[in-house]
Amino acid sequence: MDCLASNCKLLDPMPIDKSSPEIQLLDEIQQFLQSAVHDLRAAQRRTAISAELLLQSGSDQERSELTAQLLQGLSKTEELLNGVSSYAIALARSHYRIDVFPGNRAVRFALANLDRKIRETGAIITVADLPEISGDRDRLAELFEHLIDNSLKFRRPDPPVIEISATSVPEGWLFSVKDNGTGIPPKYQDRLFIPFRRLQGADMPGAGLGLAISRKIVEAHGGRIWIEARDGPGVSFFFVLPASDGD
Amino acid sequence: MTSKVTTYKNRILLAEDNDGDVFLVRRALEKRGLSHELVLAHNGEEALLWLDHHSGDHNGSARPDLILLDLNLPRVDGGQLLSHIRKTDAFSRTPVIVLTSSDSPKDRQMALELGANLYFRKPTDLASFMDLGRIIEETLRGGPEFGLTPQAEPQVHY
Repeated sequence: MDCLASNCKLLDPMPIDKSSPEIQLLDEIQQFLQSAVHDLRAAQRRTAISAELLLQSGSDQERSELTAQLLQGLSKTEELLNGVSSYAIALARSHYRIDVFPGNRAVRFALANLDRKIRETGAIITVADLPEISGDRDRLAELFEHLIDNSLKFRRPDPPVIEISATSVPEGWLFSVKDNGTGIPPKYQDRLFIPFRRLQGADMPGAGLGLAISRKIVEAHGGRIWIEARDGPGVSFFFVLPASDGD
Repeated sequence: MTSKVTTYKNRILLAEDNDGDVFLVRRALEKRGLSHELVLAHNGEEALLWLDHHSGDHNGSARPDLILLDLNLPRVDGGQLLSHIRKTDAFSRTPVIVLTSSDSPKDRQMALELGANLYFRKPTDLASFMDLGRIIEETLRGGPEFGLTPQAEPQVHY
């Protein structure tokens, strides 16, 4: 079929600049979706097959093992759905509500949400005087929650000791969360902030998204986040946030 | 004196971090009645260490007859592991079946380019998963030449 020259132009494939931030973000989201589906499917498989086996099962002991497998599949699904939802919220910068509030308040919110885990692990958490922060208070509380939760999860047999502090740097404020946990071999430190990449197996609790979400939150505030890993125990997370107006 | 005639035990390395899937692979092998010894690695690093430890064994008896590889492994992923396996003389011809939940064409392409013999997408129903027992047995029967010529079209199971 003939078409007018102006119409035909629409049929030409759009030239794609692979280095543009938009295309990179799309690629990142595509990869995220693929990984999310992958992990959800694994949880679904575990649940569905356990149920099938349960129907065929003869012994009480086997039945209770399979029921446990089935419930684990369901709770992994729940964790993944929560994680995917939090990641989506962290990505939505235009929905961030920015105001100025004390950094200690964000940490207090995070600690309240982690209260049960802190009591269970006997963690000792010290929080220094933190500056005022300009940002979305819910997201920044969530950021502290992910980092502290990470330290609680990857603990050694001793009670976790976690220190949170901040110092002034030319770019703004440098925050740190340091622990005495299992540590992270430096060779793996680049993978940590990638969604769904785990250093432990799939059976470890969690969706494998905490640090990926943390990075999105920090970047949405115009900051950056990194880790100082070493062979041996303990790890330090650092992030920089631009100083709030008036500082 | 015990008989010298023993059933040959196929040594299978399974690199898989998901306990539920380990359980299913075991069950598939048992259901098939395949005489085997399963060596389990929970992450890519563990698998790498085990393989390196067994690559220098000249009589070959400690080497695996087959490797089952999950792609999405912690620490060292399945792709890196597969590429290492194919670069190591001792394992360059060992049959490798990739087990994965991924249906990304990119992953499939990558696995086959890196030298996987088979790509098995983990099914979500028991009967299809149990089919893995037959696939493993056929791959083992195929021997070291199975599908390893560069021209051969690797099989894909869905």
